[in-house]
Amino acid sequence: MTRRLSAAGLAALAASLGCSTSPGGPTLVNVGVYATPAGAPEELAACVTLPVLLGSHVQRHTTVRALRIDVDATRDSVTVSLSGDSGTDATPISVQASQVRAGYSEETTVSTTDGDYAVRVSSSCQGATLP
Amino acid sequence: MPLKRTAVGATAILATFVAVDAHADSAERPPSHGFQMSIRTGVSFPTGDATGASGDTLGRRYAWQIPLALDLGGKVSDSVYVGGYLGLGFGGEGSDFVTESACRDDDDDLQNDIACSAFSFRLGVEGEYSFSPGERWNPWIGYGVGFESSEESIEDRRRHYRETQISTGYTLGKISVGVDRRAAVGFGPFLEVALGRLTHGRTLVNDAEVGSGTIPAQAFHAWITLGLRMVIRP
Repeated sequence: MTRRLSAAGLAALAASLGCSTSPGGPTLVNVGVYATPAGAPEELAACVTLPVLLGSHVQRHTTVRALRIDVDATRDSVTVSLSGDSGTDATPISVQASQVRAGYSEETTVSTTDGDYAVRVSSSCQGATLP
Repeated sequence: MPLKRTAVGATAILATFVAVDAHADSAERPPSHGFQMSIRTGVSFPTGDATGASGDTLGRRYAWQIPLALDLGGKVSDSVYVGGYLGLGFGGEGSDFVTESACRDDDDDLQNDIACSAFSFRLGVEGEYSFSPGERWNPWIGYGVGFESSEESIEDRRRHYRETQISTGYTLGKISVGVDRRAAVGFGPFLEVALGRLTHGRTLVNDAEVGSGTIPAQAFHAWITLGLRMVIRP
């Protein structure tokens, strides 16, 4: 009689034989930048997956109405630069990748001619399709 | 595995060189003039720094490689050769622990879910001087300059993630020395040190460019190659 082993059965068998069933591979870490214009709901302005390789850079430039957001991520750190159309630049937010992995959230405010924007940098990208 | 295929191919080429040379005319040959071509292979080792960033050495980015290079040019006198070179190099990820860990396929399902590779490209001009252009054994020295590019890739097939980091720059001095045994074709060992500087970086994720720019902290590196070359019309 022929019997078929289910996938779960195969995995259990592999584990019992000392075989790994996890493929391993890179650990992908995401950073989300959320912007909240005055009187409007918060929106995800940018979602960046930190690169894996030495020397890689992921750069993202986006605008939310009068707010410009520049993200530069390496595998070790992320820098988020914020500027308003009135020429006011907020101090860039720099975060180490280890902080992002551990769970991170920081908020700042940028003034523009369109009003003040609350900007939150977080180690999650809710609502985004990744990568 | 590309590295294994390249090694087998290189061995086959070298075996052909040896076979051709074994049947070559044993009489003394006058120095050649005009068209000359050579094919080189061996093993290349990365040294120095990829960039000025702390710990960013070339060896952490790229492992040793198997080069395949073609030289095309001409002898403009008994001793002087001028031409161009095109070189490719094939290898794996470097010694960086994080990349090595990410490249490891941990399961035992006999499927290659994670793949990493490295590749380099060189193009330039070179000159060579032969010390004994009419003798059986001809020692030579060469110098070249050109463009170079090195890239490293990681692909996670299960998660559909592929990242490629490409660095380009200049080969400021490709110094080589060797000795050819001259017959119908020349054949001999060589040592090459290619000193370079990476100036520009690009990052692709799933084949889309996500980052590009000039490397702010540049540094010097070198590829040291030890190998064999075959020369047509030595």
